[in-house]
Amino acid sequence: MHELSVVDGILRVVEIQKRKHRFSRVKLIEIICGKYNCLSEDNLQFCFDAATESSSLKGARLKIVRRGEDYRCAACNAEFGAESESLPTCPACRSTDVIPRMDYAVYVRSLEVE
Amino acid sequence: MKIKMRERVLSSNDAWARENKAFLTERNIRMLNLIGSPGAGKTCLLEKTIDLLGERIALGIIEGDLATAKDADRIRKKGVPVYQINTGSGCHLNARSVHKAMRELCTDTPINLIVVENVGNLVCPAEFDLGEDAKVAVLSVTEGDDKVEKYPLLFTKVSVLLITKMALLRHTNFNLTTVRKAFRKLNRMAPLFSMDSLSGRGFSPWMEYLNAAVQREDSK
Ligand SMILES: Nc1nc2c(ncn2[C@@H]2O[C@H](COP(=O)(O)OP(=O)(O)O)[C@@H](O)[C@H]2O)c(=O)[nH]1
Ligand SMILES: [Mg+2]
Ligand SMILES: [Zn+2]
Repeated sequence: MHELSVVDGILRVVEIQKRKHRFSRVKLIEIICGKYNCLSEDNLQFCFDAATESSSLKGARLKIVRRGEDYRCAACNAEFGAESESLPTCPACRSTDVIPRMDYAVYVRSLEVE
Repeated sequence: MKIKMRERVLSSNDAWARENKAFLTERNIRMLNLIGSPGAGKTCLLEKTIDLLGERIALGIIEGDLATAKDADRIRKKGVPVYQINTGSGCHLNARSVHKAMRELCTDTPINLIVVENVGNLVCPAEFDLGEDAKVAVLSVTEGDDKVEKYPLLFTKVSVLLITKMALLRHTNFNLTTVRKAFRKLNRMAPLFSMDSLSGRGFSPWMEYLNAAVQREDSK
């Protein structure tokens, strides 16, 4: 269950923000990840709920936003984003020799708190 | 109130991965992270690899399984230093437990290559960097030729794809060309080697890959 590791990471981030901003309740946690990251909102929420059952974070909602991949064209050096399933062609020169930037990291993008 | 940020969620694993990388660089050791389904033939591949090792490579192995030291026992029988990690319910190895393992492994034996056999799983291990130089995917012909498309994350991240159990190919409808095409859509660079770990057929490119990996480190 790698969701547990992700939930653990989210809790660390929230804890640090809490010390900074002194909020009492978290309503929404926005997670951003790459299109290939194996995270499902349902599973993540399930694990999160279990982990926060008796804490002040109980009831917070998780939302996953998937970013498109960023590419660089090896032929003309153009940089562009694309959502396609397989490697795209360069919008500038039509070359198929494109290199994905592959940022697979998962981030917390925002917290809605009160 | 909405607080905006950009905080990495797995920062603790990432920090340990960086620690591992530094540990390995300092000692001139390369590390590969072997990932594939349960039963794909990861341990068999390691056993045959050990049989074919030249003297250039001083191998150490880290085994990851939910339970038992069965794989470590198989490797130890071959006379190679091995450390078994049991993850309990964990579906993947994390950088921290690998750190402990690599320290243990490197205490009394000189090693220049560590291969980590990750927990059998095509999904979760791909998400957790261990500080390795490269990820290696192991896919057997009995798993079906649609797995590259179905589990894209791993195949975009690997530096080599090994197709195992080639001796069984004619008993399946596995199409190597299909796999090659799907793999190329996700990964332009990584080589694909097809092999059989019981007979050792097709192992030369893989052994060359390992030798080159270790040599690159020597010449630094
Ligand atoms: N014919 C054949 N059988 C294999 C090969 N590799 C693994 N096997 C069989 O597959 C089973 C599982 O292999 P193992 O290495 O334990 O898989 P792991 O779970 O990925 O470590 C073993 O019992 C082997 O007999 C191969 O290359 N050829
Ligand atoms: Mg095994
Ligand atoms: Zn271009």
